Amino acid sequence: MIIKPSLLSYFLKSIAPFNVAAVILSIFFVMLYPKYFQWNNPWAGLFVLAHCVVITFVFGRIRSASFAFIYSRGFSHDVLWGHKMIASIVSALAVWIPAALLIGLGGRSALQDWFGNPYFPIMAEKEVTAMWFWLFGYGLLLPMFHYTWIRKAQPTKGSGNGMLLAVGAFVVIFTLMTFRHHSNWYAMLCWVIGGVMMAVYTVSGFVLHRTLEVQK
Amino acid sequence: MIFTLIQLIAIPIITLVVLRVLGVIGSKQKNFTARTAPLGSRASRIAESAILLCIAAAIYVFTATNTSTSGMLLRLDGLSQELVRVHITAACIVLGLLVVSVLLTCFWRGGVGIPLAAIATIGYGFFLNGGLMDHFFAGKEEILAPKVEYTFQVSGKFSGGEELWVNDVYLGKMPLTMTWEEFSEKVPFMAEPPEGFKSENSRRPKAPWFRFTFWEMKKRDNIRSFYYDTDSQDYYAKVKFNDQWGTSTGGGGGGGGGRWHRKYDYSFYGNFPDREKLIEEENKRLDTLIQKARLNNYTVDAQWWDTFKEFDNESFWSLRHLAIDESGFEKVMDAIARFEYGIPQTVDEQIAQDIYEQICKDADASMVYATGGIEGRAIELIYDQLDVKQLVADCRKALKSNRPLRVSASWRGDEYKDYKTYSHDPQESYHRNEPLPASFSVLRHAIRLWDKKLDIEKPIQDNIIETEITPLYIAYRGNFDAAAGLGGGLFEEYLLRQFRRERRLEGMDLDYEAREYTGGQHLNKWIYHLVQLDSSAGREFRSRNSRVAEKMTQLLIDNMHNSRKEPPEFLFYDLDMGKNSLAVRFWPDYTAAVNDSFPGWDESMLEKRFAYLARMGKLATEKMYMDCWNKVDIKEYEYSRLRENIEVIPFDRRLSIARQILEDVKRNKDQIRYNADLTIRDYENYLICLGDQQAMEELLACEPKEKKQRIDRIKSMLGSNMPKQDQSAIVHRFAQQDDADLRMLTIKHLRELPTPEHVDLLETLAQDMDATVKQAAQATLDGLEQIRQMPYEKLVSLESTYTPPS
Repeated sequence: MIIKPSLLSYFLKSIAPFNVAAVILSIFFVMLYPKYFQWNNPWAGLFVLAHCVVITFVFGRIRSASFAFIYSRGFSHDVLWGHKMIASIVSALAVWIPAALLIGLGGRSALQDWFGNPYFPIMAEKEVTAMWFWLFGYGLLLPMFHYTWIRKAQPTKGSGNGMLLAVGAFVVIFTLMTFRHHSNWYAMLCWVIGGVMMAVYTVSGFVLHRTLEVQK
Repeated sequence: MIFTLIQLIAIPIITLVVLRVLGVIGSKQKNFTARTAPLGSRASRIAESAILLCIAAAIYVFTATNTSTSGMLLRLDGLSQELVRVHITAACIVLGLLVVSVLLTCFWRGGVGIPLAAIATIGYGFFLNGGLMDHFFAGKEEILAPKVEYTFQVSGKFSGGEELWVNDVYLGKMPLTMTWEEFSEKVPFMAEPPEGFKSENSRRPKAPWFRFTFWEMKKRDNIRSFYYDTDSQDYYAKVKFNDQWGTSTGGGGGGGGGRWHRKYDYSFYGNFPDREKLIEEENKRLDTLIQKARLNNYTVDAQWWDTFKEFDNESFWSLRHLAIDESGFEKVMDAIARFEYGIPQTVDEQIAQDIYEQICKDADASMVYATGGIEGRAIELIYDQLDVKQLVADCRKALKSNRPLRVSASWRGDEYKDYKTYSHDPQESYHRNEPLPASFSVLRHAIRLWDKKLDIEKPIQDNIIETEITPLYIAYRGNFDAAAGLGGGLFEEYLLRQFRRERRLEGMDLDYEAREYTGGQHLNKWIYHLVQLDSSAGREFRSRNSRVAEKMTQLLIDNMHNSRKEPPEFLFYDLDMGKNSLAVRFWPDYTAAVNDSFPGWDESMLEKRFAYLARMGKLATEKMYMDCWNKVDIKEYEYSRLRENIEVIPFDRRLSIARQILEDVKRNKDQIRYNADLTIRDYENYLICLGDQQAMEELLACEPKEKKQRIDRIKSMLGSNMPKQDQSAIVHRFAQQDDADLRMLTIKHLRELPTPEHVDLLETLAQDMDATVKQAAQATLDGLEQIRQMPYEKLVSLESTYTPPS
């Protein structure tokens, strides 16, 4: 697939206001959050969830005029899917990278230390783990939500199955997050299961997108 | 709170979404899908089945194995047979339903398969942890009875193989483990003690009976869940060894557990004539071996070591105990560690690394590491040649792992609290992750030693351990005691900042993170640690926040009704500040607090006050000591404890204060309830030991019979629990007296403690003008020479050849 800058630019422009808001919000959140981040920080989880929902909502409004317009411009379904995925990844990274840099390079720690926050710099090292979980969250939720709208636009019944599974996944993730400590083998199992889910959602999203029906 | 908020928002949204997706409630949007359209494509079916499988697997495995929510599939060995069946059946049914739901999703309808999977997993969670199991088995509660195991054993040396009877029923040979079912089937309950259990007016059981508190399993009457509980009852045991009944000298036990599995251990302490002989023999041989070390100026050779290693681990602890008063045994312990691990006198980096690895390997194999054992001593000898950067890197890795640092830590009373023994046996662990191997405890020991060394070298500057390891103890382990043990600027700043956020001293309403539960009180963790800092930051805190520090000290003193004999250590960190020191400022509060302390006897209160003043050193005046004495109720005071109380006072100040107390006792002689003259005379004898000239002159002026009686009394005083350093000082003083009887009384003590100085003294006495003294000293020297020349073969322990009866 050859990247078409105009198409990518179109998608990025359509999501830009949300991304800008998300970047600003995430920077303020990361810099000013008064406690230390743990892997299961619910505010961060909520933020990633909301951002992923917004991204997929912007790119996946199958019944909107803009959706029908872009699907009638002569781009193949694979090209459209690929560019939407790239735009999604860029959106996620646009938010995650500044936050990760602020945590990883010590900006947050330095500011909090200056504020006299007792947790810093002591907890700075531990927080690094949390940002990888945020990336994992994006990696899991984006393909999942993309699959949900793609599945909804199939010319087949059971269009809500994607949503049902997304709800199930949310409940499971939420349940696991309420338990801060898990055994190492179980954590490893979750990483593997998460990886399989990402792969299945991505591949099946790509395959199903070819048979997507524009409903306008 | 945020999790609750998310739940409140998410639950209605999820319900709406699910209902709408399932078609229970309608959608306003037009449905473009044809009525004749298939139920998903092949790709979507496969994908959704795979995703359902993933989600279901994640939550199913979690529910089935997370012990904190009663998932016991990985801990079936801790359950009764009935419960094993229940757990396995439930797990299989849920697994079956999940497989069916995945198949339904793949081959029929996801709209049916996915909700079925949700119902199955939610139901499984409620069954295990939501009370569903209890309701399900209502009327058949016996199925839910926990597995309760009891282990009985006899404590002490050469134990094992004793036969046990409980309530007159023979149970078998100890150590003995049995379940509640087995026990309750065999052993009847006795509401009254068996006949002949104890003599009239006696609190102790009469031989051969032992009484112990047994934790019986009882069914609860009126309760919604957890049908079973344990209840304590008195049971009566008899223990036989080598056809001899044991005599009870006590016993103890304890244990507990969770909803499904409980374990209780009982230890009987008793005298068994045959075993006592073995122990006595062994103790004699060890004493002789120790005497040989003393006689050789604490230098031991390979032959001595070969004999020593035939004794059990306890013998090394005996040396450690001796070393408290007799520093020569430090040398002996070093020599033992050198022999054990082949440590040369000069250790280079490579040798140190090899020995360290050997100790780590041994510890991993045994799953135990004792900092107070020979291996701990060896680490003390080599640690400074180990690469501290590598140690820090290894320690960082371990601390950041998600594994417990150990399973348990134990120590032998306050005397040895710095010498802990760490167990790393995963069998004893209930943690979700396997504990780190015992080599981590070796590593941590080396790290702590390095920290102390670096602190001495550069007391002001933070060292690599304080900057690299201390923060990890807080961040990854939440272990403030360990962090406080290492200290450092980062830790101090952390505490200070936390203190600025939370200044309340105590209370249940403190944030969980800010609470330190100690002695029955919830104290402010930050202040608790800040007042105890032995550093410039600690001094500054105590000085700037003196009222806070004093209030926290008061709370710590009040802990457990001030039952601790020693005041908190940190009170004496800034004695150089003189009258402004915390110790001086807090003294009036302390002495007032002692009035309400436990136990409330005068002699206990006096001991506490004297101990405090003794720690104050020169800041404590004689008047302060006498003020403490003046608080004593002379009528109620237990005079047999007077010498013990006086011995708390530093030796160089003792005589003067003891003399003043004697004068006071004499003045109030008529108020002493029993044997006033004898009490005063005995106390004067003690003053003679301290070098009181007046008492000495009175002794020398006594009639020969009385003088002999008093000298015999002084002799027994020297043989009692008097600190060895005090004993040596007294013996030296008596050996220089003109009176031959006084010189004579030193001989016994010199024979019992033949340190090089004492042997020199004996040699001087062997040239004494008095023939009796000369003869006794010479005989003692000959006896000691016999010990010195005694072949080591005679001292080999029986333990190596001893096997308990099978």
